[in-house]
Amino acid sequence: MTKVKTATPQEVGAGDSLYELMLILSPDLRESEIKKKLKELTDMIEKADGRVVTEDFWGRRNLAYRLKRHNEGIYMVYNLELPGAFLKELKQHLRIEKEVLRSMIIKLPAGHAYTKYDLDAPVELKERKEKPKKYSTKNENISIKHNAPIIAPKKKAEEVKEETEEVKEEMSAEEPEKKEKAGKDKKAEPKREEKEIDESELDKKLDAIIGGEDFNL
Amino acid sequence: MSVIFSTNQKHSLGKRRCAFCTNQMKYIDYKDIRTLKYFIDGFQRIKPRYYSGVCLRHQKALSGAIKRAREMALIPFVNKYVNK
Repeated sequence: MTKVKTATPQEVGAGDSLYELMLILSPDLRESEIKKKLKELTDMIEKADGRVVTEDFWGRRNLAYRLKRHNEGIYMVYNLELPGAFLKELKQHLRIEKEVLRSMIIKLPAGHAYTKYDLDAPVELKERKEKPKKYSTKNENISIKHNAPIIAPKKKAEEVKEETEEVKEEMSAEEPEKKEKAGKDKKAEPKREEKEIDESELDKKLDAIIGGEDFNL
Repeated sequence: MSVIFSTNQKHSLGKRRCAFCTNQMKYIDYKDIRTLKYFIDGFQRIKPRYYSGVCLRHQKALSGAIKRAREMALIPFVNKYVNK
């Protein structure tokens, strides 16, 4: 894409110093027109006792931002040896030129060698090492958490016990024999079913008390 | 010539070295966008010295090079996607 032409080393004219000229030409130009434009420029430079050291044609490039309603530009870079008096004239000429979108002239340090950069190559970055995830997001682990034992029902059973005992004590005053029978039955049966059985037994006892001959209201 | 630019973030303050001093680069070229991009923010701003660890002498040259590259539309002034 880019071509670098290096001029044969010649004796540098006294008082001349190295400059770098970068041009952005409008992308509407054809190739023949570009060559014509650039040749005009180099002729103008050589007329003014300047010398083209290197020339580097970058070609079409996307601009970082819009320039005079153009998204693209044609880049050209020169390294020149120019007499100081001609510099102002050259700047003026480039400013007036319609096809030149932008231009810049820089003074280079003495003994500067032109280096070419491949700008379109991607920037190398270090690859990130992916760390293993600490917690797996599978559903299995979540379901285990929900199956944790529940403590609440035990308390209920204890409360029920106390209630039943109180009732028994009341009953014991009147009919001690029945109480003993009920107590034996409870021990044999499992704890959870206590409440239901008690209710049914209590009903029976109450009926017996109310329906009994000895009971008087 | 492959130039290594390591981020100085992981080093302690005393051990930080200027990337340009270690590579013995005297002239920072504005055309060399790939190296300039190491010293530019996500918002296209010039990174301060305390992030990049560049010495003062090279930071001045670097900022000059970045500004030249901006002028010639090689690097944007502003990240255009942020403003929208």
